[in-house]
Amino acid sequence: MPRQIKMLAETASQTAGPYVHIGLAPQQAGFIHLQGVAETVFFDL
Amino acid sequence: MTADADPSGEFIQRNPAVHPPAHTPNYRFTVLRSPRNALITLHNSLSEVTAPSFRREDLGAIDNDLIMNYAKDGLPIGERIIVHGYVLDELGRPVRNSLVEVWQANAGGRYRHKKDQYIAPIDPNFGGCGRVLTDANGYYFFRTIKPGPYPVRSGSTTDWRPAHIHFSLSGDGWAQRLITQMYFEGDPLIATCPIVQTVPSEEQVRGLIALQDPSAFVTLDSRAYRFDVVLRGRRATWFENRIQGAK
Repeated sequence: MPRQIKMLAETASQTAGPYVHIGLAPQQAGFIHLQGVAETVFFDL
Repeated sequence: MTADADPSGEFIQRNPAVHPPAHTPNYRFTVLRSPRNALITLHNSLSEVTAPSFRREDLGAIDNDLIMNYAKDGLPIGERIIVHGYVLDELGRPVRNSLVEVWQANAGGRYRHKKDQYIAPIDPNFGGCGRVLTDANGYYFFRTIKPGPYPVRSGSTTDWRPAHIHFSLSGDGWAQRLITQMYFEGDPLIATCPIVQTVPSEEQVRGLIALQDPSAFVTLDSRAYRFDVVLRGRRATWFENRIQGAK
């Protein structure tokens, strides 16, 4: 009989979302455009 | 007693229902960042199941003290608080040596950043960023000034962001990395914030709100808030008919 394993819910992401991380290839992710993004990523309101 | 995670194990599939959708125009930065194409799920490779390991020697002695780490000739203005908690994975195991990086606005709601032009003044004694490693139990703490709320333009209107602290957490593998924000119990701006509202689950929003923790108050010094974080778990390694290490 498989044992039930209690799972905790992963904390929700905010700011960058789950798809943006170090090593992401932006073109592969299909970003709409990249102009100016690098300047705004840090200063995230 | 919990078994250690298998360091080579794949991570449990992320549940998209508890995370904001990638494209939420009310949170305008997601328009730039969200993928246009459908996502493809791949098996984890070494670049996902591994991550840089951080040593305590890499961090400065007061990196987790935002009250002191940028102070010049005085102390920063504002409410002194301690933020502490545990970093666990989805199976309740402590995530050890997780690099917890934090950044925030000052007590007036102003970031120390050239692009922040909010009228509130910069505090010369407050930088607003710090970092700490979790210990063997996944525990972390840092000391700071409670950040203030600030206004943001939203089309022709203005929204107010609730007071918050940004968190970036590394884990044992890059696939575990989480970037999120911590809010403060009792803040009426949480309910109207368009960024908070991108999280689809009310229960998950509650998980982003730190509770005041009187048990950790420092007498005549600081109040405290408790904020626990859950990162993705690794698939358990089974030994015969039980998880390895379990009794």
